[in-house]
Amino acid sequence: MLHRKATRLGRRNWFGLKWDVWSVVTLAAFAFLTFFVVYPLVSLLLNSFYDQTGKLTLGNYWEFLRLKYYYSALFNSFKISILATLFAVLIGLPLAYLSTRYQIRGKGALNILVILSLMSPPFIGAYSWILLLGNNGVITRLLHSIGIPFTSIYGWQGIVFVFALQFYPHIYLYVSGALRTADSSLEEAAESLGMPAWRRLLTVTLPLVLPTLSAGTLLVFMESFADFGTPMLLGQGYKVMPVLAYEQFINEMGGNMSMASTVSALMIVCSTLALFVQRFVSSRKNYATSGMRIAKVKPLSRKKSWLFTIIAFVPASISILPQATVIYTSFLERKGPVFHRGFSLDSYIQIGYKVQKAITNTFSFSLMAMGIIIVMGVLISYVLVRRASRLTAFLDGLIMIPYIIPGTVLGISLIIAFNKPPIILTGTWIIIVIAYVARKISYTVRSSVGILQQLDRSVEEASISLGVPPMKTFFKTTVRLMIPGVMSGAIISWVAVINELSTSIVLYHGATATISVSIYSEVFSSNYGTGAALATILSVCTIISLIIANCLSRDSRTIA
Amino acid sequence: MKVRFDQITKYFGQAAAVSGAEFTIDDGEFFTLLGPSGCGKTTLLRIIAGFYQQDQGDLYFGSKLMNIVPTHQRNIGMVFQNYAIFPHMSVFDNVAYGLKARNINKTQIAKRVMEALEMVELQHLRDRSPSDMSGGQQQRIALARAVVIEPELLLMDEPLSNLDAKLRIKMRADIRALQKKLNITTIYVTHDQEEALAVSDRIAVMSRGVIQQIGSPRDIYLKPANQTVASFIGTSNLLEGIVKEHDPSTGLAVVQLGNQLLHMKLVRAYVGKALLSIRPERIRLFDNMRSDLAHKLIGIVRQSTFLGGKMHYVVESEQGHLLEVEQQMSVLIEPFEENQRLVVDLQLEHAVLFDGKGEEVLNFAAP
Repeated sequence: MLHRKATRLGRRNWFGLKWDVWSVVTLAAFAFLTFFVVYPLVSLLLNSFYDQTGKLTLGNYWEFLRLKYYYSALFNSFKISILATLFAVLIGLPLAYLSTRYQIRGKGALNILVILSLMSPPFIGAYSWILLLGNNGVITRLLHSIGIPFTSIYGWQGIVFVFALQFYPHIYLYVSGALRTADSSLEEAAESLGMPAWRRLLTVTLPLVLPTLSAGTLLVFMESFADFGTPMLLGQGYKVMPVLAYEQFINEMGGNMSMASTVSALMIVCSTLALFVQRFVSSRKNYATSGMRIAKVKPLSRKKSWLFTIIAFVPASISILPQATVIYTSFLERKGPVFHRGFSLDSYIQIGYKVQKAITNTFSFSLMAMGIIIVMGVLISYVLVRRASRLTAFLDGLIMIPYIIPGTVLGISLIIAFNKPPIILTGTWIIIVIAYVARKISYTVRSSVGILQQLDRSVEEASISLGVPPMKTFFKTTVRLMIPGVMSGAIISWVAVINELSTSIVLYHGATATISVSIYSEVFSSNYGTGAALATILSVCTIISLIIANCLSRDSRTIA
Repeated sequence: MKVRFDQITKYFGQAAAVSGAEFTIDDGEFFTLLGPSGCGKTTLLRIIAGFYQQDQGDLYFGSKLMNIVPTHQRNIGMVFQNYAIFPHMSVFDNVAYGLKARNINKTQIAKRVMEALEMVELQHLRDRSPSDMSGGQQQRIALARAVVIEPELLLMDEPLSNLDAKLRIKMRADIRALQKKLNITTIYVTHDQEEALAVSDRIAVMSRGVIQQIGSPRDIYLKPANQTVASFIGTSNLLEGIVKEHDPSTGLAVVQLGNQLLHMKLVRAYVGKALLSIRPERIRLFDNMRSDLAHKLIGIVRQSTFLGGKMHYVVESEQGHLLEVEQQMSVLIEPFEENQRLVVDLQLEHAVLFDGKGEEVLNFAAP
């Protein structure tokens, strides 16, 4: 063999990055996340170690542990989240089994009901339940008139009730997906070995869906733990962590930022802990099954079929009640805050001049956030999939951080970071748009990554080999083929953004109030009609958006 | 156009996917890179395409150094294993894509696309969406799309591996005919040795990143340069033996195989361990104890399989070797039974004798 001086051709720089447009994208994404997520969270953490006079101390944490006023909120949060998760599993799991394994009627309608009840923001659910089961609620009065001593929905039981009904669809959707694709020959094997039906369920079926169930459970726990609107509306003195953080932050006597930071830091610790517990549970119980045989649906006798159908529709119907109530209420005729008999558009006319700004705010902020989310989502997902490296894996991790940070906490951290020179953003719309992007971009990145992984790389290579330069190929071919996947994630981001409350409530400033913030303040000042009209607008937008998303995801399946 | 590889090496991490590739592909040649998966053949093809950059060495198209020319300026046509048809475009737009990139006027594009579609017999499907077409049709679109730009080089990466067996045989004949008609230099990657033998002017056999042998299909099959090539192309019985003595003046050598002594003619002086490679069709079996055979062994049939046109046997020799033997079916000869004792005749004039490591050929000069 000839030995000659080797011509080194590699032009690889630090971190193994090739210097091109994509390394610029990677660095820009890092810069964004570092500046608007990592820096605020670090500031918040540091802030929790200083007292009001600026002295380094562990005093805030000591205060938290010492005073019942504080530590009871932590206890309450856990109590409510655990109970809500438990009830959500108790509703969602049997419902999923029933609808995937038995021949019940109206499965399509059942699925629509369940998805519809999932999409409304939880505080709208809470608010509707106040209309139904509040001190002067429709059902409360009905119960009183027939002599049943029901007080009201207020208190921790009410919060758990609303959370369970709001979040069980997560469990239902996750688990029924897993049950549908589980390999039924495993159950048949158990049957052939002489295992009776109920023990097959416990020894084979449930363990197989456990990883999925645990992912759904985590989601319900996290959402219950982080939700601000529902406990704020229903708590009436019963404090949970997000409410406590908000109150410390907003306190009329001058907010206590140190304590707000401490409460926030503890919330981050708790949700991170929950994430690790779930990962630990599911990582040891994850079975790769190849769904060779799809589970069969058991036919039922006429009587049983009706019975199971009714059982399945009970929770679904109850959980859709809030949506129906909100829409109904928004059309009621009223005088001031008092409702009369008969229908009118009064509430809608009133929001026209009262909170018009909120509507334009919601849509302009959300559209801006969506523009940024889509562009960033497409570019970042390309880097994550096509330029995968240790560096991009780290970037992926950073993007997921805002996903597990409670919204209130993210809002407070942004305030702490940007309320002092050199950069003051508090009170501006910019900070709200940034928060929306940071919090909700993960949906778009995930779905874009998903479609890009399905897109064969050779399609891009074919285009390049035919003489189209790489960047032009990216825009002409790759982006074109990614659109359905990107948009279906972007619409989920959009729905989450227009319904966003827990960050907006911290960041808004009079002129920058959004629809969800207005609903919250309308309900708080007992203007149920305008609140309902605003909530109806949000619900209708949400429903339309989800229908579009559904059509798009069908499209993307045909392309892939 | 000639393609020249000058000491090209490519690493993935620490491992060399291609090391020291040095050869030239002639103008108009159908050249195949053949080898098992992971041998580096696709890596080499992607270096030619410009999708990978070699770590060392130079690549020339004609006399032009290509090392830093980006893919889209190399004027190549490439056919991918999974066809890589643009799913959002019609058949026509797929084929027209490369012409549009070259800013050719619309009437010219229409004319050339239709010519290309006629070549692959798809002109009637020009407005259809390719996503609901069969694999064979998609393959033809990919081929038309690659040749319509009149590339200087046609690259094909296992283009037939996703088709069923019958279609594969028809497509490979069509590809070969098209290549001859257009007289386009073609580099073809496959792991299927029968396919490679059927279509190629020359084949480069690769293994573990190293080119083992370059030659015509006949040379590769009949005169394998080493044990790796002999065992990858077709089936070979590899028998360990010892060259006991060698007479340099006559070239005659005595090779010991177990307790049997065979006589072979060598082209170079060698004494020591050796490997005898012989194809299954070059071993004959007889049921009577003939004594006129020069290179006979005694064996017992261990397995007998009817394959339609031929019989396949596994025969265990007295020396303990397991031999694969193929015999054409004939009405005159009854197939042998399992456990039958018989005489095994090795046709040594068709055998290859390697040195003990299987690296060098001893009984003929390298082609």
